[in-house]
Amino acid sequence: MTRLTEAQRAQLEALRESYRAELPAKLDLIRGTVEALHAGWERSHLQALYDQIHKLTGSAAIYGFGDISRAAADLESWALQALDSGLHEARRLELTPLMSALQEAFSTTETPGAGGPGRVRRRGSRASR
Amino acid sequence: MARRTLKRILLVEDDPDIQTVTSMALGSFGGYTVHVCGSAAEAIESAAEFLPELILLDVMMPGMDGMDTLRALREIPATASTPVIFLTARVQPADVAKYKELDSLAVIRKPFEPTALVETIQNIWIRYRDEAH
Repeated sequence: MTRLTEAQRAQLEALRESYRAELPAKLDLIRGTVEALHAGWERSHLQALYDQIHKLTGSAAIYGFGDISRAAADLESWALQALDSGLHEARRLELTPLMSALQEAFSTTETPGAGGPGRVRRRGSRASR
Repeated sequence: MARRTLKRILLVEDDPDIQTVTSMALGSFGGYTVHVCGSAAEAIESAAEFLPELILLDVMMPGMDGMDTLRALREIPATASTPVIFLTARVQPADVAKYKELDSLAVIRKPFEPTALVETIQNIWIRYRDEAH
């Protein structure tokens, strides 16, 4: 691992703070997409949710927000399965608890790295986009 | 033949958050000159002018994905043989096999730790350079 100078460490910390400041907006965007999905269960909303959550899964882990990334990975996996095999009733019912878990991760994230940076558990892989 | 030194890296990544932290790590921690592109089209347009010694390529991008971008870059004389490292969360064996078929140099798994990225790239580059000469 690269040994950082104080200035480089401060630079990285400033980026993490900037990312943290944008987290509420990211959650609002995802909330809006989930609301649209609940209203219509259209594939375009599902694809939008997948795209938004996929980015969050990756970027949150890189910036050190491990809890958010892990909760996002669960939702990403759900969206992937829904895209691949449909949004039947049982799967629709899974969305609310997954979204609650994501919101919980956002609300409890106070410190970058508190949830561990990390390796994100991904339960599925996207066959095609 | 002189050993090639890595100075110029083309980063192709559509997520602005990942662009920011990756380019900062490469530029500030690694001392590389980094040119960032947010899409395949941008990369193809700027590659011949920037002349990178290494390309870091996201796989999942809207429009043309990373694999098709690599195929397109291979058609450009300036990047026909430029080594490419894929940056991706898609690292199932079948995915990695596809990347190898495209003659990529390596795959760096997302998410990565920004402070470890430079060392990872340096190690890949040293191996490539030693094998090439």
